[in-house]
Amino acid sequence: MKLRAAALLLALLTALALAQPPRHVNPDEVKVQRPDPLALASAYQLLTQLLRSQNFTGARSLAKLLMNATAPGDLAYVLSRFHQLVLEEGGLLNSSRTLLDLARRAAERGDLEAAKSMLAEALRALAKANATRYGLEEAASEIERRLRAGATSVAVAVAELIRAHAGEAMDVNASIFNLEGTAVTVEAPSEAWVGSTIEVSGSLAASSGEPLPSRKVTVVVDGAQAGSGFTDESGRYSLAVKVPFVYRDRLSVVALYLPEGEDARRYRASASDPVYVKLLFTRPRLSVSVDPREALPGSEVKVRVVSNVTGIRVTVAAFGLERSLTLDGLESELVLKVPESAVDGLHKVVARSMPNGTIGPGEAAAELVVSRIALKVEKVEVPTLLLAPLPLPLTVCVSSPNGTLPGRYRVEAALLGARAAAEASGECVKLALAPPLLSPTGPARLEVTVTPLDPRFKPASASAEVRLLNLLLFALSAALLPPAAFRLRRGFGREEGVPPPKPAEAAQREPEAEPVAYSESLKPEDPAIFEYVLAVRAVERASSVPLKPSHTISEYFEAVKDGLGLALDPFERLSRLAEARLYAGVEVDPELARTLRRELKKLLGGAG
Amino acid sequence: MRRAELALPIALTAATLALLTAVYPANADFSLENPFWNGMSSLKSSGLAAGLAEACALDPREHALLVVGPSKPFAEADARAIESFLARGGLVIVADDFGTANQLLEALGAPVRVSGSLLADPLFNLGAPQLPVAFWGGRKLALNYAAVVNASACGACRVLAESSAFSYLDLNLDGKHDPGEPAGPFPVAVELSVGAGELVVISDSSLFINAMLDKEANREFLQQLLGLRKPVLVADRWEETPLTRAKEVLRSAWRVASSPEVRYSLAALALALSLDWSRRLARVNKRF
Repeated sequence: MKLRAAALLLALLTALALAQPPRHVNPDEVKVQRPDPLALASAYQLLTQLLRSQNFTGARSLAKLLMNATAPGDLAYVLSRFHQLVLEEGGLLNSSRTLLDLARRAAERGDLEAAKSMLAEALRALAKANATRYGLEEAASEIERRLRAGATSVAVAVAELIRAHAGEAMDVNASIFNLEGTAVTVEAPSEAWVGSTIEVSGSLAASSGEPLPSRKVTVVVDGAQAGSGFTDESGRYSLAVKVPFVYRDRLSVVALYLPEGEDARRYRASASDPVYVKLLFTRPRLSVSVDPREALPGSEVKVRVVSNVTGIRVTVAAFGLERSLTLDGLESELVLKVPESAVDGLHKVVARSMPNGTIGPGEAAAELVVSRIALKVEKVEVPTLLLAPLPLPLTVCVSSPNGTLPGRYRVEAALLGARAAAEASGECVKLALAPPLLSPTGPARLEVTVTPLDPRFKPASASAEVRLLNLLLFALSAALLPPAAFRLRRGFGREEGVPPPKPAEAAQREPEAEPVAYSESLKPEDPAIFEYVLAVRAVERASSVPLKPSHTISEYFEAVKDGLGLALDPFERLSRLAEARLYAGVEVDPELARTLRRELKKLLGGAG
Repeated sequence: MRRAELALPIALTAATLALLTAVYPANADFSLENPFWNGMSSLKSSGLAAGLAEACALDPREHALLVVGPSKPFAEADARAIESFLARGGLVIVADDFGTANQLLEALGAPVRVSGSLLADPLFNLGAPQLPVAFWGGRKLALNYAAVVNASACGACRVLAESSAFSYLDLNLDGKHDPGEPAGPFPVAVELSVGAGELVVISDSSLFINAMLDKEANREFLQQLLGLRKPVLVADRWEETPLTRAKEVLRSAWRVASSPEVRYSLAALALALSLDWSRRLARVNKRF
């Protein structure tokens, strides 16, 4: 049951893990996939729509974007070529469209040379588009064959547009060579007050010089239609035009003749050369001043506006905000609050008066310096030597040039990744910072940041060099050093002949087990070797053959074996055991060695 | 076998393991020591790396914070530290897709979130729809299993980069666009002012990993964001793998061992041991 539940939980966790997409994959190991035909088809559908509505800018943007489409192998080239050709065709059709429109307008206003030149340019663009069309159709059918993404609809739309533009070119060509030109003139006063009415007059005649009576002439003032009138028998017209309330030096007046009805198939449109009317209006002189000229964020300043015109409405703009006031006399003032978020630097206070009838607009500006009080970390008091990881007592004192301090400020201290923060008021603040547990002994940098909560003050920072002494690491040293020192002392002691401490097994030694001169080189601390040494001592007594320093175990055995009699066997076995223990490092049972040595002693009898 | 005889092989094995751990390069996602495709060693070479608290204490005029693909949760104190960095005019770049950055954005009071849905683009990509290309002005950014930024509640956000009109959110992770799945363009990088500072939220944590940094205009994008500031990678926001944990333990041990107290103690111990060994060697030589 438990097993089943665990398996179920595991399966659930696996499913959850699979449901979560990876955070990334190695892009260099990704096999390039074919573009989604549905997405591509929707792109081509949009492209076709844009072309059909003659939105060439949109079509070119989309084609340019589609050039970034990703595809594997040669399909990438086919797609890229197709989109490149669509981009080119879009450009050529856009040119032909624009040139045809310009040619038609030039023809209508009687500029036949310009019309002919533009028509020729339009026809060249169309011829080029027609030549490119075949490549486009081939690329479209290849894409259709491979992806079925509806690319042919784009090629069809391009072909339709080329045919439509060619038809229009023929129409423009016919109109250029069959219409008669006209000439219209305009006259107006050289100056006028804004808002006043002026009389505009002029004449209209065919290119042959014959006046054209009862034709409508439109007067355009400063780009906007101002009125229209009809010509009399002598081809002259006259109409009253109101000068708009615009406050510029001058404005232009142009007369247009646009043939209507039967005239549209007989005459070309024409426009007069512009005439300029100087505009008259009163210009108010504004001046603005701020007091004081230097301010803190959150403080208030007085803005004084003076003008030579009374009763005007003035807008004062500063820090992205606007305030309005009306000048009752020749001057007025308002109080402006400097936003708390205002940054240090030069800010403009701009006063603008609104135009009113013949009084034009006015503008003046003053400069206001916003400067926060520079807070200074006056003192960072820390002990000369810090004992880590004990908390470090820290005193931070702040000051400012004018002696004022922020109501509240936040102090942050950082040392080796450990941080402490406190909010305070007044000159100094105390805080405790606990250095990290394993802070290294040595110099370290303490960083202190003071962030005022009062917007009138700038933040300040300071740093101090401190020396750390880590007690924890010293304790560690203290734990390591005595064993090291002891070991060192023992090493030297042995060199000087101090007897080694007896091993635990030594407690079981027999009373006769006194150290012998050669026993040290034979490692008597080893219980098995110790038994061998005792055996050698017994053999020495029995055979009167001493063990020399130059003897190996085998050599000594060879030297004494003839005189051992029955004791030969236990001594031989004991010698082999000692050899195995001493030279091969084999574990030897000390009990076996002791038994052999006792047997040897028994066999040697009184001699042992 | 005696304990002394076992000690040497054990010590050798431990030393070999420690050496291998130290020498073998880190392979964890986003690791600053990882030189492989999914690491960020390339970016680290051009900037600094620090813990969040340490990074926030740096001068914001000279440094910009990069929080990339965080997987550890953010504490309130972390958000306050970042807020303080922003309040001093700092720039913080948060790049995340399916991580824990939303927790930080919420704590900062930023009205943007990283949506947890996978962004795919069947036309403009690096070979697969899950590696879409986003457009940053006239240039392209290469994304890798990215999400999108939800900035609908943020009127003051400036969209820096967005996916193409053909991109979509693959909600059911089936690798194709299904009816009902939202279609692009989606913002993938937005910028907003927080206090006196600037916060940039990017919905892909992989934009700056080794394999992606030099793809398309990713590096230029980062340089444009940073200006003259030096990037500081916040290095304590990822869950550690056993290897990185072992490396960190070794690094800490090395730091402790480098302190004068331990260094001199170890030297004294080594001297004592070497004297003892030389004495034993002399005794054996004398015997034979």
